Amino acid sequence: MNFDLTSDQSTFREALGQFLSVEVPIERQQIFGGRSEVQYQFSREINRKLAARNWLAVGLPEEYGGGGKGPIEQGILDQELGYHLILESGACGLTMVAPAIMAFGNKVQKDLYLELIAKGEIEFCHGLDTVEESNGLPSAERDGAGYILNGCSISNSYTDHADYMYLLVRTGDGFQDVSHVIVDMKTSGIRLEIFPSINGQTAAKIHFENVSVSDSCLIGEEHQGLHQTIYSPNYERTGLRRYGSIQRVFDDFTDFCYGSAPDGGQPLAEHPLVRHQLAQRRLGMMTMKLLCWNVAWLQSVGAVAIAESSAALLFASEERLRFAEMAMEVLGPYATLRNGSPMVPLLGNIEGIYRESLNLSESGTSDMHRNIIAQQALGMPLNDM
Amino acid sequence: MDFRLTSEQKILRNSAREFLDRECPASLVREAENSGTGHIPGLWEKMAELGWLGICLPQHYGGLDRPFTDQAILFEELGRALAPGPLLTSSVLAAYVILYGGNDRQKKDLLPGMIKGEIVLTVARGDGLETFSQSSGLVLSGESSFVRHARLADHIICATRPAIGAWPDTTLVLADTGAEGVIMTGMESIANYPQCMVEFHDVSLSDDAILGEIAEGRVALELAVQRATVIQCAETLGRSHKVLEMVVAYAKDQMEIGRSQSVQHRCADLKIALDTNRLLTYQAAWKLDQSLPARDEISMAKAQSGTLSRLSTMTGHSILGEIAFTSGHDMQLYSNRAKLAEANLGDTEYHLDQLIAD
Repeated sequence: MNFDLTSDQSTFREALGQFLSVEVPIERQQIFGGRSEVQYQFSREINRKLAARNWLAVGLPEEYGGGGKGPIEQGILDQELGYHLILESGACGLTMVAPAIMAFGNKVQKDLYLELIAKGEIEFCHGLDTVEESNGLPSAERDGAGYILNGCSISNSYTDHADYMYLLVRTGDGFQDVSHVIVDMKTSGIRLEIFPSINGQTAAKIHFENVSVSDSCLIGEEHQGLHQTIYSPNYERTGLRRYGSIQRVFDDFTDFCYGSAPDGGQPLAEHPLVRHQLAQRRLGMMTMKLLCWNVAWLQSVGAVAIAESSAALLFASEERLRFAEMAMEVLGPYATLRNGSPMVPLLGNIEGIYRESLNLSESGTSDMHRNIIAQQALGMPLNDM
Repeated sequence: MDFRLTSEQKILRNSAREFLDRECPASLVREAENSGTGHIPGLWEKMAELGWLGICLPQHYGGLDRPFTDQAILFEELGRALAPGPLLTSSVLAAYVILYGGNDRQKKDLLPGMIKGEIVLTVARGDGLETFSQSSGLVLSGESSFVRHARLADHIICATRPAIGAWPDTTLVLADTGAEGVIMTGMESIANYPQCMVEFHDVSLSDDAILGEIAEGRVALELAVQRATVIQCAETLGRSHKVLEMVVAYAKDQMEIGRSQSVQHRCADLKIALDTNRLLTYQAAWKLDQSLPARDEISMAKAQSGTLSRLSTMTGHSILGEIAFTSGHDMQLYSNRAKLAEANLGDTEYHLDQLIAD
């Protein structure tokens, strides 16, 4: 066993940390609950600078503009970007679409997308199934050398910035007859219905009305979408980006508690209950870190980390909420202040992370993750949900 | 980064599991519980023959000299089987105190015999033990409670503070359990766990009984406690894993229970707590193997270990139902020992306090 990075990996991490501490001024490091267009454009700029060093897609092969390293290096990048509170622009392309294209895409698709993703030039959004629609997914009917898409899909981030959408579509009548496609967002017949989220991001319902696409949009084989989703290594997200950002706010909060109190009184950490809660959450942060790195490591050895990824995502969502609730409780009324208010602590990030932590359905609901763990890791039967 | 066991470690784990499945069934655990000593000599001899009592001790004392991580792997299996006997007490905590605190002669006198299973050692801690010097040697007095396997032990390593006006720090001394002035009173415990309150009435000790030097015992004791704490976590890991297996097997057998989402979610939560503890425990073990500072990592592992114990008990008893409340069912063997493990070497609250001590 080995819980350490190699010396090359440590060097990469140090160089990255140095780069980010220069490039990301402190006033850019407030993102929780306050995602804005300015922040988004700033993060794209950082992505391009990282790409110029071949760091952005550090896990992709060099022939596609990547850094030629693996999931561990990608994890280091994600964790550091998270820790410096850079928005996840480009993340869908880097962590979801690129691995899928690498695993299942053809040569033309690799040439077309991977380098642009690696250079930070294009943004993807991810289309999810809609619960309220009868079949959940848009349909893709064969039409000569392509498909006609109808129906709608949900995307929860970067939809309004996305150049392309990566989504599952129904390509047949059977339950399993679904396929992955990439659709250019400028294709005619696509209409966005925007739903602003409470953290400043935008979710959207994407309507497809007789949208005509060529069959070169298909990633992998027709009807193999579910199989591809489930059995592809590197597909499941490590959650290291999110871990890094939560750890950062926790560290800032801990420092804050050891400094003088907002009302000028004794440091909050003088109170034994506060110290005790800080210790509990410190253990929670370490747990989150290890569970996320477990996924990255499994990816690095080519294993499919379905249940492990669910465990990491589920624990992180719930731990983020526990931390946010704890910090809100400790700071009392000061915790409700937003950036810009007099006496606001920590750039308003506590108020922000509280709102952000209410998103308990990132990459699936908590119930869904528990089902996955029970069924995939413990071999329990499909349940009566 | 590599979270896998090596192939050697897998062999150790598999052969230990095979041996314990065969040699340490639940019936033997019950026999030990009802024996009054908490010990099965036949099993103890076989474990000694396998080298388990000295798995990480130097070869020249008869040990196997394997990395510390291997001891954690072994104790996962011992915990899973609820193996009885002074394993953690004698072969881990006491052995490391001797290794780090004793002089060459003391190590040669004690470790080979301990490794062969012929000598049993235990440790008495707390603030109630005092030593002061007399014309030749020391005098030990006071009392210590929760001394594990005291009646079985040949020697008790006592962590003593100085009597008023004596030296400045902890002195470790070795007292024979049969010495004049040593009085033991059994502390009846959950699962009939064998532990005693031990009183020392002006017990005379020769200079040879001082482990290392006067007033220099603190570091050796701390190092030994650190290692024993990680091993206690590994033992809990094995025990909790077995509970999860019992519950999942039952749920799959009783399909209307196994298909219940709430049952599955309880199992999933226990699985996450287990995976978490495995990572925390082996992170701490790995750090010790690398001679890296590991105090915080050990406290994190032990703090979460208590949570894991409670969760596995709750999950086991609630899903297995009424039958698990009967003494004939194995679940109670696990839940009773969970409490012993949780309280041993600092519970969750204690270790959370350690995390913020600085």
